[in-house]
This record gives sequence, structure tokens and C-alpha cells, in this order.
Amino acid sequence: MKLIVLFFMLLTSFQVFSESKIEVINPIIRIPLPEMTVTAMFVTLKNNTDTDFKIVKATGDVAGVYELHTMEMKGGKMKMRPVDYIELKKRAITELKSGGFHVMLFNLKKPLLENEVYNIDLILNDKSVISVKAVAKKIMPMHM
Amino acid sequence: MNKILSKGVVKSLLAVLVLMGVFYYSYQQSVQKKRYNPFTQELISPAGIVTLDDLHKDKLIFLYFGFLSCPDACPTTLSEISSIFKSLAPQKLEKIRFIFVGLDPERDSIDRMTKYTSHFHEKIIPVTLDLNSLGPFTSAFGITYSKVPLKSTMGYTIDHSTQIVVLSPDKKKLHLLEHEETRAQKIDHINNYLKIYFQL
Repeated sequence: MKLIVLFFMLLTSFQVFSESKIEVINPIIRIPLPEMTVTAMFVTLKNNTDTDFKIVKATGDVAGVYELHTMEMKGGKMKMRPVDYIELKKRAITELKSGGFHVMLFNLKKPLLENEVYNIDLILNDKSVISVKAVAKKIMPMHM
Repeated sequence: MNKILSKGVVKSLLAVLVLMGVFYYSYQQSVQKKRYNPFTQELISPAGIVTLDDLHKDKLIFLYFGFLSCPDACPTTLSEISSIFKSLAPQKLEKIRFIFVGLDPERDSIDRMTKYTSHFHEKIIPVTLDLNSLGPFTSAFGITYSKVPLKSTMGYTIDHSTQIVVLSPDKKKLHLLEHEETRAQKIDHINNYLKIYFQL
């Protein structure tokens, strides 16, 4: 019995080590509509460490400019603002999603093709890089 | 002594004049506000100049206000409303006009607005109006917006109300469809008004 417990403990500890620092889940770039000059990248990020991190910058080769933004609904009014960073709290999930934090893409260098994968690097405050492979999608989030 | 007295008189006279000016100005403003009729406001549409008076007859009017660099609320609302329109019976759809009012005429021409809305539903009519008329037009429907400079490639953004204003065929403001309401709730409201006004 003890042996089995030990075996499972070993297994789980092994899993902890094999986990990546920040897990990247379901990254999507929205294909912009005609005449829309901006678009956004959404992703869920799971911080598996005991350290708080901040995304301080985004880069990539598909857009000319990347900015970190947030959206806020206040008194029935929608407000969008650039932010200096997006916090990734330790052992927590942070969603970059419609109606909240997102990476804004300006000056797209080429039209995005549906289901094509585009690389976007998120730079953290400790200079480490989360490499995101975002899939271009036409779909629009229906509810925020 | 006389000099001091006359100086005082001049000062009070000036004060009275300034006050009169202020009153006259605010009176004029209130008259203008009372006179402003959003239904006769000239709107630039893809088909040329129109007014709400031209558009409302025998229809439920929906007004939504937004801009083309709007990253989220506008495309979300327009795509949701398009999907609702697709689900409505043709005789119901026939009684609806949906107008997308541009809040950023400096950047969004009617041509660009038309290309943008063509991506959604043919029922969605884009209109623009000049910057000076935009204030009275929006506030006539209880919609607020403000141009906010940003430290961003965008230069500025437009904070704006996200509700859809519903007007009856007799020009009454019926309702606001809230952004947060579900698709089903919005459909319920629309069906309810179609029933009241058109027995559909």
C-alpha cells in the first residue's frame, strides 16, 4: 500500500516538473472585418508556478504594432484603454478575452487566413518569453 | 470721490452686462435644445441624405451607435443582431429598420461604414452625421459618447453607450436593449414589440 502511495506521489511530482511555467490554452486571433483597422488576440494562460508574473509586452511578425489593452463596461458605457502590463497571478488562470484583457494588433502585414497559425511572443517581467501559436478565426464571441 | 463712485458704477454696469449675456446665451441654448428634433436631422446613408422621419414610417426603428475601430462591443452587437435577424420570419423582419450610427465621422466615412456593415446583415443601414450634430442627436436618445485621447497607435478611442435604442412607429422611445442581455432576451423584446405594433 505504502509503495503504491509512494508511486503516485512520484508520478504527481514528476508531472509538476514536466508542466510548463505558463500554460497556453486556446489562443485565437480574430480575423478583422472589412474596414476594421485593428484586431485582437485572446488566450487563456495558466500560471503553474508560485510566482506572480506580468506580461509587459507582445511582439510577433504578423502585425506592425502590438499593445496590451483592457475593456471595461461602466454604467452601460464601453471603455477601452491600453495597460502597461497584464498580471498572471501565481497558481491562477488569467483569461485574455472579449470584454477584458487582450493583445491588440495594429497594422497587419498581410490578411489573416482562417485556421492559419500565427506566432505571437508574450514577454514577461522576468524577460522570459511565452511563445503563443494563435489560430486565426472568423468567429465572434457572442457573449462577454 | 466722484471718480471712485463712477468707477464703481462702471464695474457694476459691466457685471450686469456680463450676467445678461450669460442668461441670454443659456436661454438661446435651451431654445436650441427644445427646437432640436432628431427625427428631422439629416443623416448620410448609402442611399443619400435621409431622416428618421423618412425611415420610421410603419417600422420599428433600432438605433445602435458605434465606430469602426471599436474592437469589441460593436462587432459583437452587430453580429448578434444579424444572427437574430436571420432567425426572424420575413414578415417580421420587414417591419424592422436597424440603423448603425457612426460616432467617429472623422475616421469613418459612409463608404467605409457601408463596407463594414455589409459583412453583417442587409437590414443594418449605416449612417453618419457631422460632428456638430452628433451631440444633440445622441443625447436626444439618451446615448452618451466621448472621444478619449490614448497613448496608443489608435490615437484616440470613443467611449460609448452600448445599448440598442428601440423606437415605435409613432416615434416613441420604447426600450433599450442592453448589451448584457442574452440573445433570447433580446428576441423576446423584439417579438413583444412586433406583436404590440403589428400584431405579428
